[in-house]
Amino acid sequence: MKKQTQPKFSFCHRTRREFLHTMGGGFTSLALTGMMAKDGFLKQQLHAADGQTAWQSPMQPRVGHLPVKAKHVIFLFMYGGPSHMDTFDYKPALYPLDGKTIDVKTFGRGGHKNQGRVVGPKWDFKPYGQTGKMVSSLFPNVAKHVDDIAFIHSMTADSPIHGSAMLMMNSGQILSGRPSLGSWVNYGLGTVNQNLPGYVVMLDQSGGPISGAKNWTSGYMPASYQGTVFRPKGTPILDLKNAHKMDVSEQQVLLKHLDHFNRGHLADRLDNSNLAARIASYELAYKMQSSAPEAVDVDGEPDHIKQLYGIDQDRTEDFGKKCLLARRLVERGVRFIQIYSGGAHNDQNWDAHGDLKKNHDFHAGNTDKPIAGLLEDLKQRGLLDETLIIWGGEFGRQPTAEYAEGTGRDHNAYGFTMWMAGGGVKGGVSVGQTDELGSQAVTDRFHVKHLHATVLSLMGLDPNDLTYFYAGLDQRLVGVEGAAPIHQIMA
Amino acid sequence: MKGVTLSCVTQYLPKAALVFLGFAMIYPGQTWFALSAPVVIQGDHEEHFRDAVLPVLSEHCLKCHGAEPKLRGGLSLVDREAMMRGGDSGPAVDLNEPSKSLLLSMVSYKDEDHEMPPNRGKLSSESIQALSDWIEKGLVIDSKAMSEAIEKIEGAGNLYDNSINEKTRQWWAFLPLQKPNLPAVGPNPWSEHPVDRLIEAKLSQASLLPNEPADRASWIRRAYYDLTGLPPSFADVEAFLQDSSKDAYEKVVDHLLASERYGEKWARHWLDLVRYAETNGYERDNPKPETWRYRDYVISSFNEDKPYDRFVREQIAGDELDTVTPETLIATGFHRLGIWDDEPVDADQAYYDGMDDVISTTGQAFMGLTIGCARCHEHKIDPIPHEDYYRMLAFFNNTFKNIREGQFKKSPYTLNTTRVIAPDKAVQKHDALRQALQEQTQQLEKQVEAYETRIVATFSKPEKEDARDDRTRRTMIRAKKEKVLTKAELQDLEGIEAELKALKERKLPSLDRALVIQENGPKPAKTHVLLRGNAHSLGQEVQPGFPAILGFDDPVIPSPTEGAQSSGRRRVFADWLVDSNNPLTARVIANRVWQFHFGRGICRTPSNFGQNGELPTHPELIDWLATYLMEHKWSLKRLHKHIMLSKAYQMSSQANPRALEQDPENNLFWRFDMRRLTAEEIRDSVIHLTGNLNLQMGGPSIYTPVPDEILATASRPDAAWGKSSPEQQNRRSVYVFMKRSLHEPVLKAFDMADTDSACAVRFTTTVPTQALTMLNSAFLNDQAQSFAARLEAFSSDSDQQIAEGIRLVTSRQPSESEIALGRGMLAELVQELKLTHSQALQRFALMLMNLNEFLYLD
Repeated sequence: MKKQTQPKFSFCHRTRREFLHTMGGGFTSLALTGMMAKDGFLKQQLHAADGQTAWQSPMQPRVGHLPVKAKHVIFLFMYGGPSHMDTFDYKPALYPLDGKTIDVKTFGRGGHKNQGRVVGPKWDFKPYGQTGKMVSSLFPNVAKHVDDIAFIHSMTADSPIHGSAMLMMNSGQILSGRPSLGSWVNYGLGTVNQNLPGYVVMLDQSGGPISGAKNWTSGYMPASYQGTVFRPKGTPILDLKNAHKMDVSEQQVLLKHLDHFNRGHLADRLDNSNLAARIASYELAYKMQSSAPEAVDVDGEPDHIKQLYGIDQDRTEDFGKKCLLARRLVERGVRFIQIYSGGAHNDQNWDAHGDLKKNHDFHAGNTDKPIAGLLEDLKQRGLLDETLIIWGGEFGRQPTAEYAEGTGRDHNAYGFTMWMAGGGVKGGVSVGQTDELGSQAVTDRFHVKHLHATVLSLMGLDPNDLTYFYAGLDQRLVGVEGAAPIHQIMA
Repeated sequence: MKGVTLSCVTQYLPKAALVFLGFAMIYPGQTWFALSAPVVIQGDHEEHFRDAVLPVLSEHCLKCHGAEPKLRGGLSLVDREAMMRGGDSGPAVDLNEPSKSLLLSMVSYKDEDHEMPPNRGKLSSESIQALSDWIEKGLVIDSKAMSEAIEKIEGAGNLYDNSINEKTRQWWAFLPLQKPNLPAVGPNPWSEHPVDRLIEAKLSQASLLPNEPADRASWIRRAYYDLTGLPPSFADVEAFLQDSSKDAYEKVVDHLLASERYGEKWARHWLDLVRYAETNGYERDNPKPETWRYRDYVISSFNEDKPYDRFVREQIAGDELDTVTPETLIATGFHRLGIWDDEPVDADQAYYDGMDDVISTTGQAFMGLTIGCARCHEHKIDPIPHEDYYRMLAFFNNTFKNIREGQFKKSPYTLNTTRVIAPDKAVQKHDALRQALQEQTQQLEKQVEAYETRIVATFSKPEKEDARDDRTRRTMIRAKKEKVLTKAELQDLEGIEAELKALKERKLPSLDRALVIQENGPKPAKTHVLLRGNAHSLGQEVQPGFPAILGFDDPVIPSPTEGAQSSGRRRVFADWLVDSNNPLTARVIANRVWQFHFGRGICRTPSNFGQNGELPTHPELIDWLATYLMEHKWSLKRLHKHIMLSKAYQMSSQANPRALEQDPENNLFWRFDMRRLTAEEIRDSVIHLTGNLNLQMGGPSIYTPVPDEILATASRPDAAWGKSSPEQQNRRSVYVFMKRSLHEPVLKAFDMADTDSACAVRFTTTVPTQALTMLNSAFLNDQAQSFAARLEAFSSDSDQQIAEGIRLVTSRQPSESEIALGRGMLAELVQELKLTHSQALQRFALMLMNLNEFLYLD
């Protein structure tokens, strides 16, 4: 094993770092710059590249600052904004108010309002687990796992509008151009499996979320840290298969000769590590072609596992496959996996402006069994301890109706629920509260950045010390003021 | 109250976050700048500070209360002003009543919510006494010892002097621009070219020698790509190799600068800097209208060698110049290229986001300053006060229509204003045509009326009553006309009616429009400092002004002339930018021109000439080039030529063990750095190899074929991307549609600039997914197919095909062993894997497109 320089997160050598971040050619090609700004590493890369020494990938695993509680994250993104008072945030006072117009301050897509017609919760709740946690009938299977889950009922975000709220949940800011959570994790930790991307995104069958790739962008970081879209059917990754049906044996011939040519070219330019890096990247690409399809091949899984995820049923087949695929990726060392429930627009995701009942029955029905299966499967394999599961959307919904008619609820960023389970998270815990209507968080209010701080901390990264130098300052996922993790849910 | 770190942030917290988190504190604002200069103190007090106080501070305090960015609670203890100013909890010391100082109360653990240092227990009583004495004695600080102490504390940050004083005025980029004296030429000069003399002087100080010249084939390939983004043909190379005339190099440079490909290549550099894209970003990411005209404007500006000062003035204030033309109006599209949210969560804040986009971009692109850092508070590193940001904003603060929350649905946000830019003649012709059509219509209508009057005249009295209603009358006329009119008349009427209908359906050709800036009239809006950058926290009113550190007089804004549509403020700002006394503008652009020839700027942070940018390796060289540019009427082509005819530009990229050991980063320019082609160069070169590159210039952007996998990531996959004809798809990359939420995949794979903010230096990443794109994508394989077809058309001889392939890819003659290698590859594919010769040749062509030699320049 080659000697490795430990990553350095803290502020140091500022001007040097800016140079590393911005210089055009040379070293930046390894994309490690922010992490490895120590002179020793730099010189090593510039000097020791003799064409023989193994190339170091920008994604090589690194050690974080804190004890590692979770090695992987599976973020189950309920795009569109699931209603908290209809799922996990039990509001008994809301039922009898159904249809009544009350004074309540709301801010959603329809702007600021001071009054609204209450829509009573459309599902019944009942207690589950040792803690007697109240869960609605939308999630009967997930409910069986409440003793492994920590609920945060007092989430807040800066925007009740999808576009900016999605950016905030994924990248910490309502403004476009920032790296997403998965990029930060991979920037901080690298990935242990070089033959697979470290950051995988799986989209809903109906399409991507609004703003598309902005949700898994690496923003101002190098593109090496952006999410890679994985498809559970066909070829999992773009360009993994040859568009002209060139088969492996032909490709081997091609690569062999390419290597000859490239090594000849390198012979006079041994000092240029970029050339060696490029040669090495073909080897990795070649391996990726076999390791990625192997990873997504869920057909070989036994039937009882498929049933566990609901793959045997039409409704749950798609999301179930993605959850099972997520487990397989976790087993293969992928750091960060995000699965979208819901895509495109309106009722194709959790954005229930019209018929709440129809919308949430549909999306919860598609995902309840697969999510419960994922929790159970990870647990029985001993993987839940090292895998952090996050469930939630970009915001919640209002207790009141959006329109004069119907049961649809508008967006709500003043208070909503998210939950986490697994790696480093206490089970059977609920923190924070919304008011009795569920209209806003009132106790132990947490912001998206606290959620992000929790994820980073559990992964072994200090959220206040994980920085990336850009536009004249050390940027952090959690913002310039820093943020503390949510200790109440951390084991 | 929760502590807030006062760090620089280019984008501030939106109002909602401030409210949610209880951060809505008011910053003490203007008192900052009114503080008096430090008091001079005697030596024994300094000694006390060094011996008794500093050790305590170093051990317990400075890690969090030293310098940015680690500052906690906004409090820094590094100098008197900072302590008296205090942090979020108020001034740290009270020199009038030292014992009541907050600092002492905190370290004494008097109030359990305010205990410092936290978590590690109370300081010893001696330490507390030392601090108390220190304040008592007037808070004397030995700043040198303090700086040294801070530097020793890991993670405490560096100290920057961000006040405006004699020292910071001496920062290299703020000094007046003067032509440097050239070093004397020694007995055996490397070169007499001024650029070389400046470089050689530093090399010889380090006892290093500049590299030998690159071979001619490498040089011409380097020159072609640098100026046009495309390789020389093999014939171009051969001609150059044969050319023994003295001005052989110069002829090549002149030829390339005259090529229209030059504008296409260099426009892309500029477009990166001005965050060019053709959509608005955010949820809908709607297209901006007519944006491509701005792109074409930039291309033609480079091609015409438009003086850079004019180029700057047109973009900032093209609508306020003495002569306003369609071209200068298109140029103002610069202001409208940024992202904006058409559904902002906080409309006031969104308004200032829009302003910030322009100010930050202007600051970085034209001035090389990160002015955006002063949006929420004073710049933490550079001497740019908070107020300076808003003084600059005042120049622009009349150009955006604000919209109130909730109104976005009713009134579309007006950042996408377009304006007719057709030449007067076209407008006149258009008006004349419209008038002619109108007259013709009226005439015909009169004829119809005449017939109708005759018919109506035959109506009975009750019929006439009914005919008062228009619709009924028309029906009645229709029913009766055959009785009243002769056959010929009927025919005539029908003819007239048909003609009328055709006339009405005829659409006038639309006049050309452009995306432009437009002000809200000649009277500018008031501009206030925004406390902590919060749009809802107005501070004092400010007037337009230049960054104070540069020492210019306050601008005088001429009163708007009669009929003026704007305040005239931007014109004043633009004139100042290109004023011969402005130390920044010429340096910044000269450094960029160098950057795109040598792979890095002389200052490696080309958009940040401030104190946390990199120091230039050759400041005199920047000054030389900047003055050269101004002396040559801001002609960029002259500057290119000046640089490219230097020996420095001719150097080879070969390593030299001694120099590599001594200067591995090539700070001294002992060699020419290799570079990878840019994303656009890669895509264009690949198409160029097939002979199918379509060199059509200008016009609306084109769409390359994008795989379904990419489209599927959009929320509306069907509407996400357009379709162009195959010929159009083969146009140069600068014409590919720039959509913020969906980047062209090949360009994206090779590190095209992110479009959300100004990009001065692109990344050059090397990742396996690039290899997948180059090996497997439909684009590469299709092009390889065409390339192979070209080789087959060239010759039926296999060796000839291999040789021609290598020639086209590398612009040089292949070696025997390379041809043998190719021969071996084809044989293996044909004999062992049973491919046809054509199929095998496609694989070979694809292999060539993957060569490092194809993607990297020596």
